Amino acid sequence: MGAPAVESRPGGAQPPGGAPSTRIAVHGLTKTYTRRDGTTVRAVDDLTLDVDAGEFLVLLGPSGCGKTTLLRALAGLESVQAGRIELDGRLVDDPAAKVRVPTERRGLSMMFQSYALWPHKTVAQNVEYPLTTRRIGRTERADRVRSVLDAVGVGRLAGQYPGALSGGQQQRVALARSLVAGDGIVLFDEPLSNVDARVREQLRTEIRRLHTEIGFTAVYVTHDQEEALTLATRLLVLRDGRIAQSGPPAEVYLRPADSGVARFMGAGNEVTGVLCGGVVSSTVGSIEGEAVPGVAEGAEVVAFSRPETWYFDPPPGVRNRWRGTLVSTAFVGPVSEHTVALPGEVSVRVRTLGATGPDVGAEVEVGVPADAVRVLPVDPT
Amino acid sequence: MTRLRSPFALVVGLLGVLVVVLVGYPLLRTVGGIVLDWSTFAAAAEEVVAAPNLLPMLGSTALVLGVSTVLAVVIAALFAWLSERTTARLGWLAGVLPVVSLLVPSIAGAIGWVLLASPKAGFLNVALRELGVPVVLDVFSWPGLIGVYTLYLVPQVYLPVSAALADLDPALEEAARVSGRGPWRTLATVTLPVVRPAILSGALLALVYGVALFSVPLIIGTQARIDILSVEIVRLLTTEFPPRLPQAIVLSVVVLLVLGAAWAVNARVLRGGRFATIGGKSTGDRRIELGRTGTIVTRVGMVGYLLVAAVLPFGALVVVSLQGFWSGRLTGPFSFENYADVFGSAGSTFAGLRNSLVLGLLCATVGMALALLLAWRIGRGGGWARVLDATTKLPGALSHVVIAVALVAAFAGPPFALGGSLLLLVLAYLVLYLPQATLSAQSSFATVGGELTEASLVAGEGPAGTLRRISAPLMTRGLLAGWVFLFVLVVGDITASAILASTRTPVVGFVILGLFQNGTYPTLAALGAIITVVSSVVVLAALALRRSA
Repeated sequence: MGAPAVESRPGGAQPPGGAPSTRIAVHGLTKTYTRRDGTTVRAVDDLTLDVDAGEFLVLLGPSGCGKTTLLRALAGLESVQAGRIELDGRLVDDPAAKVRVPTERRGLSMMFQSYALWPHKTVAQNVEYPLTTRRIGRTERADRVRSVLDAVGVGRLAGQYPGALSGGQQQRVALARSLVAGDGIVLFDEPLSNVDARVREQLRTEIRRLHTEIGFTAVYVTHDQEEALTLATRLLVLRDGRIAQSGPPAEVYLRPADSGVARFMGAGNEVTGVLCGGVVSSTVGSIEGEAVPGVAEGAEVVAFSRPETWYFDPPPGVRNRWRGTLVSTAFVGPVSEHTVALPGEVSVRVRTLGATGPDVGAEVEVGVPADAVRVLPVDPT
Repeated sequence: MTRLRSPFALVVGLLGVLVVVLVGYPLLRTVGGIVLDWSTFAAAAEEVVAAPNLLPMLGSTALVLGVSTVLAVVIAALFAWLSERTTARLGWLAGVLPVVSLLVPSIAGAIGWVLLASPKAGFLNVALRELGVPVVLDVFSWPGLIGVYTLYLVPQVYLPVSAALADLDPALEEAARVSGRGPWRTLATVTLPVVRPAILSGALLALVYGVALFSVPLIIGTQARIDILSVEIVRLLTTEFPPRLPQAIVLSVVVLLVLGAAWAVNARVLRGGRFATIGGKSTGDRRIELGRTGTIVTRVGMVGYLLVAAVLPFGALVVVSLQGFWSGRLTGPFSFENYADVFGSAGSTFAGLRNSLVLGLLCATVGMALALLLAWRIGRGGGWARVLDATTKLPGALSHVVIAVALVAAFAGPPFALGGSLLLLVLAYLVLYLPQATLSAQSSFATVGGELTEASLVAGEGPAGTLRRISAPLMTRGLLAGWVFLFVLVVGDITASAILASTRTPVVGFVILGLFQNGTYPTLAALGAIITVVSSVVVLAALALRRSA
C-alpha cells in the first residue's frame, strides 16, 4: 500500500534542521461551563500542552475530566474563555486577542464517536469530501480515496452507502475519511467505543500500523486504559481539567505520579503507612520503595505496587518479603489472581501466569522488589 | 465575531432582521397606535364596552371554547392513549387522526355538517324522518356548534399528547400494574399525570386555534344566533363601512389578554416540575392488553370519529355538489354542472381557486426556504438566535385574528398602501404560518445535527457549504413534509383571507364566504369538495412518503 500523498499545508513545513516541529501548542487554556443551578464547572483548567509532529498523544481520564472538551476546543467546535491554541505555528484561538479561526479553516481531520458518516453519500463520496474543500484535482482525489480505502481494508465497499455497512465497516470508512487528507493532525473522539471487543482490537492494531506508515500527528481521546496504553507514544492523564501526569505509557503505568493516576491505570496493592527513614513503616512492617519527588519524611503515604510484580517464593535479593496465607484464587484466563492475607490485617493480590500457583489455604511467602513499589502521597489532589 | 462575516451569514442575518420586522412591526405599530391615539381608542373601548351584545358575546364565546376544549382534551387523550399504549392500535388511523383538520379544511367541514344536520333538509334528518325516528338533529344549536368546534380541536390536542405517550417509558406503567392497579387505574394514576404537561400544552394549542376559528362560528353560529368573538372582529373589518379598525383592535386586545393568562397558567404549572420522568427510550412493543371487547369498542369509536370528522361531511359535500339543488336526498339527477360553474364562471370563483393554489405554492416554497435558513441561524446559538426563535414562534401564541388585524393596521394604509393586494396576503400567510414552518425545519435539523455537521466543518467545508452539501440533502423529507403542511394551511386558510382578501384579489376562503352569504349551496359544495380533495391528496401523499422513509 502506498501512503496517501503528503499534502502541503500553510505553516506546516518542517523547520530546517529536521528537529520535530511542534504541531499543536496549547497555552493556559481554560473552558468553563455554567450549570443550570448556577455553579461553574472548569472543564479545562489553565492547561498547557505541546504536541510534536508524528506524536500519538492519548488523552485519558475518567468521564468529566475534560478530555473531550479539550479535543473539541482544538477542533474549534467549542469556544474557550482563556488561553491560546496554535496549530502549526498559526494562532487559531486566543480570546484575549479576539482570535477565533472557525473549524473549517483549521485544516484538521477528525474521527467521531458516532462515525458521523453522511447517509446520503457513498463510501467513496464520504471519504472524498475533505479533499473537495482543499483544491485537489479530480483524478488525484480518486487516487487518494482508493488508496486510503484499500489501506483500511474496505476498498471493495467504495460504491456502497453507509446504511448498508456493518458497524465495523462504518468505523473503517470513518477512519479512512479522517486519514485521507494526508500527514495532517488527526483528532480521535473515542472512536472505538461503539464496536465490540474483537473489532476494537483489530482496529486498534490498524490505527497503530497506519500511524507508523503515514506518520500523521494524533490526539486521541479515550477512557479505556488498555486502549490508551496500546496506542500512545505519549499518554496524558487528565483530572478535573488539569494534567495529572504526562509521559510514555510504560512510565505512567509503572511510575504513576499519584494514587489517583495509579488506580486509574489498573489494579494495584495499596498499603498505607508513614514515610520513616526512607522506608514506609506500616502494620505489615517496613516496605522499601521509590518515593515520588516532594513526599516529606513523616508524611502519610501509600506504598503502591502492581499485582504482576509480586512473587511467590521471591528470589533472595528481594527484601520486601512476608509470610502469609493464600485466601483465594481467581483464574481469569491468561493469568491467575491470588489474594494473600499478611500480618497486620494487610491483604495483597499476586498475579501468576496461567493456572499456576499454590493451593488455597497454604502458607506462602510473597515479595515485591523495591523498584516496583511507588511511594505516593495519600491524597492525589 | 469573525464567523459571521461570510456573505452567506450576512444574507441570513438580513433575512432574520426582515422577519423580525415583519412580525414585530405590525404588533408594535398596533400597540403604538393605541398609545399615540389614545382618545380614539378610549372612545372605541367605551363603545365596545357599552354595546349591549358585548357580554352575551364574550359569554357564549367562553362557553363554546371552554366546553369544546374540555371535550377535545378528553377525546384526544383517550384516543392517544388507546393508539399509543394499548393493543387496540390501528396503525393507519394513528397517522391520519392528527391531520383530519388538514384533510377537510374547517370551512368545508362546517358546510358539510350544515348539509348533514340542518333541521329541515339535512341528509341525516331526512333519513331519520323516512325511517320514522322522531328525532331531529339540529346543527344550528349549542350542542351542534360545540360539537363541530370539538371535531376541529381534537387534532390540536392529540398530536402533543400522543408524542409524549410514545416517549413514555413503559416501565412506569408496568410498575403500577405490578403494584396491583388495573389498566384504567394505571391510566388515571400514572400515565395521565405523567404526561400532564403535554395535555396542558395541547389544551392551550386548542384554545389558541379555537379563538381564531372563524369558519365554524360564521357558518353555524350565525344561523344559531350564537355570537362568537372571531366573527365579530371580522365583521367590524369587512362588513362595516368604513371598517372599524379601533373597535377590532380593542376586541383583539381582549383575545390577547385571555391567551396571555392561559400561557401564564401553563408556565406556572410546568414550573412545578415533577414531570421530568419521561425517558427518551423507545418503548418497543410493550403495550397494555385491552382484550377483544375493548379492542372492538375502541376501533369502532375511532372509526366513528373519523366518519363524523371527515367522511360524512365530505360525502355530503360531494353529493350536493353533484346535484342541481340541495334536497337532502341521495337522488339525482347528478351532473358536473356545479364544477363547470367553478372552473368556467366568469366570476371570481375560479380566480379564487387559482389564486389560492398559486399562493399556496409560493408561500409554502418561500416559507420553507426562509424557515430552513432561520432554523440554521437559530441552531448556531447566541442571543440573536434566541430572538429569532422567539419571534418565529410568536404568531403561534397570538391568535390569527389578532395578527390579521395588526397587519391591516400596519400595512393596509399609508405609507405602504397594501390594502387589498396579493402581496399583503403573501406577507400574512408567511407570518401566520411561520411557527409551523420553522418548527418543522428545526426538528429536521435536530435529526441531522451534531457530529454529522461537525464532521463536515472539520473536513474544511464552511457553514454555508455544510448546509448545502450535508444538512439540506439529509433534511429533504422533513422539509417536504413542512412544505405540504404549509401549502394545505394556506389553501385552507379562511381567517386571514376573510380579513385581507378583496374582490380584486379573491382566494378560496374569501370566495366561499361570498357563496355562503348568497346561499348558493351546490357551488359551495363543489368548491368545498375541490379543496378537500386537493388537501387530502397532498397530505396523504406526504404521509405515505414519510412512512416509506
